[in-house]
Amino acid sequence: MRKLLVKVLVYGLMMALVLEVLIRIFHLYFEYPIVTLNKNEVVNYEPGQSGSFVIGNRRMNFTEYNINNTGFNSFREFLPTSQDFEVALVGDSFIEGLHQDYYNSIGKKIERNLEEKVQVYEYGFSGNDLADQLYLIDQLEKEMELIDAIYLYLKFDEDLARDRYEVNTRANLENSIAFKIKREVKLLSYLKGIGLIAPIAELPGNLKSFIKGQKPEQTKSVDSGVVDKKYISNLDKLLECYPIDKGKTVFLIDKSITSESFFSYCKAHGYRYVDFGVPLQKSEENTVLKYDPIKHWNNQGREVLARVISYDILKYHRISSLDKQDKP
Amino acid sequence: MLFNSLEFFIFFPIVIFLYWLFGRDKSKVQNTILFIASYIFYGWWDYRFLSLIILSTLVDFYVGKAIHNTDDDRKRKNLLWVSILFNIGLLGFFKYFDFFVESFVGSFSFFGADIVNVWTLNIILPVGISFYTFQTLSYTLDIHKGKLKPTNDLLAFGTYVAFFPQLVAGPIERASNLLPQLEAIKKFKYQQVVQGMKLVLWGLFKKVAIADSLAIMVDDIFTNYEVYPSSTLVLGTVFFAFQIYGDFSGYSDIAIGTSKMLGIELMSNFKFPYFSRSIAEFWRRWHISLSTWFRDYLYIPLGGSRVKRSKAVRNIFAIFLVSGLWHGANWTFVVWGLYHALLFLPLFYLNVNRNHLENINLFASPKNFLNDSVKIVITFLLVIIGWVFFRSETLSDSLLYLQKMFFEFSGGAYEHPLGYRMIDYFFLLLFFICYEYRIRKDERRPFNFKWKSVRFAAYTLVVFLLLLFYDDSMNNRSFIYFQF
Repeated sequence: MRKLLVKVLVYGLMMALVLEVLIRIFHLYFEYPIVTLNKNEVVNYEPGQSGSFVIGNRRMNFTEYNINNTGFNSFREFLPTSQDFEVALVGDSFIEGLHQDYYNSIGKKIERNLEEKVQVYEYGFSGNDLADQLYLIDQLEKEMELIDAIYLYLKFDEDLARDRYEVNTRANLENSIAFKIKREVKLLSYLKGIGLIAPIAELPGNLKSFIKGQKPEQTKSVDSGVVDKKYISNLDKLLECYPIDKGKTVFLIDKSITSESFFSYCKAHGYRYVDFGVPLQKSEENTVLKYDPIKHWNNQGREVLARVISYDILKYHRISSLDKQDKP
Repeated sequence: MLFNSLEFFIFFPIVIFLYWLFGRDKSKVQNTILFIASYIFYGWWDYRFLSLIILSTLVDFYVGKAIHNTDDDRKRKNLLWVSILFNIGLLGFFKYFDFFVESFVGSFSFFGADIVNVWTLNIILPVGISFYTFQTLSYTLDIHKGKLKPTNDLLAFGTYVAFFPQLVAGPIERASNLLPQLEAIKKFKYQQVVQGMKLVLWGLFKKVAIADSLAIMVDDIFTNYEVYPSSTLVLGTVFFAFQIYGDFSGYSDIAIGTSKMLGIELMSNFKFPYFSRSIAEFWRRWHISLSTWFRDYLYIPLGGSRVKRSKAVRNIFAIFLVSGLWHGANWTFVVWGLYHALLFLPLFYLNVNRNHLENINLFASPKNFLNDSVKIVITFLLVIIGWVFFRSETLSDSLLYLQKMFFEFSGGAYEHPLGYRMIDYFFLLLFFICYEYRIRKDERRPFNFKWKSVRFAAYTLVVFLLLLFYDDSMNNRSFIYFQF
């Protein structure tokens, strides 16, 4: 019995070592840029990183990222001036775009659409909600003053769950030893990525509840009217705390999944929004990444988004010689 | 509890640890641990159905004894009927009641008489009922034939009925093989345990990397067969052939492997069926424990082939139809059985059904290669046509699927809605076929390589492929044969 246990252990370790090598050789592991908390208490990426981002067990989606000096994934540095026309896209992973090559992002596509007459800065960070986005804009006050148009990506049912900003704990978590080990041991990173670690990590909690006889929480049916009211109240409080320049800020929303109360609120308070849902639905080609569980936009999806934003820029801002753009 | 679940990966090491730590040289302790573990394993699904297993155990234990203790032929026969009616009744009630009622109503509707308000049971089918009822039935049948003496050890018999590695999807064991092993003291044998672990690994590979990964495509193709071109439908049947083989033989390998780790040897259930050179050979290699069960307890009692030709043909149809119906309460399974009977019949008439008893060796000579390859491909094609009936939801679905596949020829590359690369699966299946050919001489030794380093490379490769093709969305996907 002892011989068996020793052999299983030795074989297991050797196998793990070989798998680690194989996973590194074929670059199957899931690589995230290192997260940091800057002096303004904003969580973003450590500047100056580059690497590749992988989705799927068999490297089904493989892209490159480049973290600029401001800590965001972008092909350019964010250096707004009063002479140039700059556009800021603020949002979560959809704007951050680790799942796309950084040189083929929505921002790059907008610049191409507008014949390089504008510069697009993508302030995207995974998991950011509206509180994070408004706080970020508030902290980057000087830069934002120089920027001519701001597009705030908003998912009504996800991004309005809280009414004030609190520092994201992700930076602390990612500085933990366990996380660092996971980052360095590519086999662990791979196993986590394919979903094999989660059930094991959840096991102690599940076991504890099982022993205590607790039942998993039942999903209560919630009155959508009550939720809408809460979200609008949160939106109101956030905008009161971090006021935005109504003249240059636009909400970027998918109308089909946004509550009517949001539109009423915008109308009543003079906020502008632009809908990308209809153009996405009209697209003949698939607009989301196939293997991606979060369904981020693929190249076609980003193309549609870029067209919507480009059209809006042309419509509301005077940029000469670009009037030939068709409505998306 | 599923073999491919986290619960099992916690449950089994605990059982093994307790079993070999406290059960050394003590058969009663070993059987007590196995008995409790088996009931926990089964009760994990639905503890209420444990009552059926308990009932089945008690009825057959005491009926077996009673049959043995009397010399009165009539009484023996009556007692046997008690066992048969109880087990078949259990199966019929839970598995076939709704099917027969609905078929009966359907036949009335066919003649224009519509029956409304039909009373059906609409209850869940207890997992593994087809397997353990057949296993207990074989016990009383063997005692009645005088082939087996009843056991006086209720604990060993209870463990025999509920033995967790093979309780829910076989192999359907015979009391003459399993019961003596349970009654004896199980010794820890290093080689046996290692062989068991290797089989478990190979079984997991077949289930997770082959069956579950192909299931994603198969489910899509069979659900949306109306919109796909015929070339995709062919792909769907080929994929299903490997899915069901990987699923079921994977389960059997894990069952045999875990039993080996407990010091118990189970019978083989699969011997590389897709290398068969005829349908008769296929049935000697596919689900062996069920085929031999029907052979011994149905075909031979009916007279087998040693009766008039017409009766022998009847016996062949009987065994295939019952085998089809055993798989599920649906006409698709009946037609699947009938289809195989029709394929088997010409071989029987030509007296070539006992050909190809030797193991395959494609590379023995060029002539051999050509002959056997052609036969293997033809047999495989015939088998996969049958799988269309097996996989389809309804008989009309299977007929439409086949009609589209054969008579509305159209081509085009298949693209899964989630965009899985077909080339990955092509290489996976190529590896699987080549590997199976390499190990074809012994299904119980999947890593039978001379050199230690090659063996280690094979383990690692299998684990690597398992990770590459593991799909989170398929996590804890049940085994296909659980529904039977």
